[in-house]
Amino acid sequence: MIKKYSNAATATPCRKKYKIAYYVFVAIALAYPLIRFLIVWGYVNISAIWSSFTRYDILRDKNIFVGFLQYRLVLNKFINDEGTQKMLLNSFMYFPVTCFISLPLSILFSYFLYKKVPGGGIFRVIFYLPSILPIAVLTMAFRFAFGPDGFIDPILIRLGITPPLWFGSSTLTPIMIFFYCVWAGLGFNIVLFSGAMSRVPIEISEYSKLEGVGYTRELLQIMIPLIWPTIVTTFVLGMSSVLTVYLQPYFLMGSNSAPTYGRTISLDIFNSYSSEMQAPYLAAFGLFCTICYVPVILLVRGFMTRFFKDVAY
Amino acid sequence: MRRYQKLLCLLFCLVLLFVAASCEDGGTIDIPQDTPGPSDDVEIGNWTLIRQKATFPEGSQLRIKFFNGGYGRQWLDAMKEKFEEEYPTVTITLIPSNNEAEFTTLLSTTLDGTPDDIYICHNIPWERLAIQGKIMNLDNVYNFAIYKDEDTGRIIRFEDRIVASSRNSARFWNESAKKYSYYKIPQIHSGGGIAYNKTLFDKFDWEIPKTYDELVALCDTISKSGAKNDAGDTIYPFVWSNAVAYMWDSVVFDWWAQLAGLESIQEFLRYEDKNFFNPDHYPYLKQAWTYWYNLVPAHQNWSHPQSLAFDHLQCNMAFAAGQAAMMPATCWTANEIGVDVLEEFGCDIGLMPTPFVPDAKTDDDGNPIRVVFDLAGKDSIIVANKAKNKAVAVEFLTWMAELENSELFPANTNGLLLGMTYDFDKLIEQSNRTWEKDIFSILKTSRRFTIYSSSPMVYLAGTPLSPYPEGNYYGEAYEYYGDPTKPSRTPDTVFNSVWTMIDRDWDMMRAAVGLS
Repeated sequence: MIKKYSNAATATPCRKKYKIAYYVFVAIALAYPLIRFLIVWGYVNISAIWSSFTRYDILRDKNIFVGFLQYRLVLNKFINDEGTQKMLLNSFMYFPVTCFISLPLSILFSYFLYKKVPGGGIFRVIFYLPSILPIAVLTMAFRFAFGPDGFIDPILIRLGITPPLWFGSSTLTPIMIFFYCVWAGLGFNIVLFSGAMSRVPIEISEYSKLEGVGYTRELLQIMIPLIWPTIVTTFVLGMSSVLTVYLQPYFLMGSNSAPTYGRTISLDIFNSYSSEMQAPYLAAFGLFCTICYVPVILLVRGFMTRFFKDVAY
Repeated sequence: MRRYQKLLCLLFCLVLLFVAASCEDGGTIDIPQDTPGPSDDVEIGNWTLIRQKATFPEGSQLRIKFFNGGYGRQWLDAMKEKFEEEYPTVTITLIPSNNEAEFTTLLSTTLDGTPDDIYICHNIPWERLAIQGKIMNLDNVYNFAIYKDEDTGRIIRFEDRIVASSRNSARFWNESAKKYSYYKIPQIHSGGGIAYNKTLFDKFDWEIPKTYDELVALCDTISKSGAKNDAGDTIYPFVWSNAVAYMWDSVVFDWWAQLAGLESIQEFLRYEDKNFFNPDHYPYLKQAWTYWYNLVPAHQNWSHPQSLAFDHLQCNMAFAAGQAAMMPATCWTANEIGVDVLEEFGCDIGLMPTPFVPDAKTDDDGNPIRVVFDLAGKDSIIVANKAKNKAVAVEFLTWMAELENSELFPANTNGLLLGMTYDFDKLIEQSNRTWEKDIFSILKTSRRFTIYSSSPMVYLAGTPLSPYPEGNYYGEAYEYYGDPTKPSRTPDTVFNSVWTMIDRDWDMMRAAVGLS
């Protein structure tokens, strides 16, 4: 299109004017995302990388190079500190929970909705509702449902079961947080997968029906390969939750000082940060985790893209 | 293949960056540590007001931005009203905010622009703002004459009105003058310890324990009595929240100070000698923690069964509802629960002086030393250097130091005090709630302390050094007690682990903040 207009633009002044207007339009359209990218991504990341090699000098009011010092402190923590190791393990547990529990469930429920099971519309609302409520409200509702004043404990007591400490035990609380993440995360994934499934040509579904293909086979051998790119993207996003999840444990554990068993990488950084003077260490901490984990994500992504070939439809 | 080339290129760049960065020398920080001044407050006596009152032109303004949190805003409303009455040409605008970031991470930028005049909040990074010249040097304010003691002829300056135990937390290094200068006014002073439900204590004839042994005996009595509250719930000796388990610091730090003495704690808080973390060299904090360990985790049935699960609010409500006789608390607890809520529950609460441990240090008369730890030491009042109404701001601060005006704060905050000295006898007489009377009595008879430190290991560190550098482990010690499948959280394992970490990382931790 650009070539067409640029060739034609030399012909008449009207075309020339049109060409300028076209470039102005493109520039305006690109300006916002570009500036946003430069500030939010470029500046923030470069600043964090720079900061991680410095310490704040209060007298000179600037950050000065200290080389690997902050990284050595971080590494030391990773190797020797039991609490940090527990926190890394907590964070890493979000990978199987998101990718091997939440994701398959989302695909399954999306498929049910795709097959228009009775009451599918209601289920769609039920699944999606947690995604549109503020996380503070949702976590509070979830937390209060379990406990002496909630509705779960009285039911258990009536059944003669002593209710456990849902959010006060180092064993059960992480499971409750994972349970919450699966429950609250389904809606978003279902929207993605429903969108992907609805794009699959109806003829394929009709043909497989005529051929007597059952639901399980249709899901595993037809639907999943056809929506594979969406699954890979969702899987990779799920993997990144290891580095990003913090609000769920923060709210579910009572906001103030998260006990060790619920700490995650992001939550630890969030809880620790109270002034810019702490930025160098925390930047090194975050970057070190990223440097270690991003290659794993890239490898998994590379591995997954080899499963099925992209199909255009 | 091209993708791998890109990846290799990126890795190569990163390695280059790492190498370049590691060639630099971070240098060292050269700020001498502040030395705490006199530890005794200037006692209120036969004082005459000599403060020179300033006059301001018609239409003068004062803008005060404050964190609208646990202390409420009634005290500021009362001060505004009285100040405007006395200075009819001045109008005060109060700007409440619930966004803590406006006073912490964002304040530095705000102070560069068109700031308000006075900021009141906790966790203001005032040390950095002071060095940057963004907040006002208050040396002149601290030097301001407020009263004259008619008996001794001594001039009582603003500095004398500030509680001695908070003065060093208001000073920071003034590089140009090569001395420590005042940059903030400590907003709060009070104390914490063990809150008790007076209604239940009266009903069941339980006595306030004076010693650790009496406290243990009381817990045993409560536990074995099977006492129930009006709603039929079992009354436990304690309720606490794992989400804010640091509330136990109010008790444990008191025991630490009883065992070690306040001077020893001041030495500890300089963070100049790593051996203070070695329990063999400095056993006091471990001893204090052990008393707590033998009281709480070792008696699992003495704590409300939901203590590990309760958040802060739920814990407060359980205490107000009479489900427990005692709760670790700080000065703001009554304000936080709310007087109306307490009245609704028909519950009167008080704060007991922390019982003496057996080997507490004694004073000259042979009595155990009475100390009180104040968790609320981080609240600050600062003046923006670019403030448009600096003169009015200074006038307001010095006006606040007048006895009558400073009393507006405790009159509106249930047992909290400005960081100034008070006539406790008068406050006790004026109080009509047990909580206030108890706190004022404790403050009258105790030496208050905070754990503020002017060490760069605290204000400059990525993870600020504290008496518990690896976390306080209260919750874990309680939960894991006697469970062989869980990590050990005994006093030995907790404090040995801290010492191992400090011993190993000390030099690196110092280097990271620029100490040689």
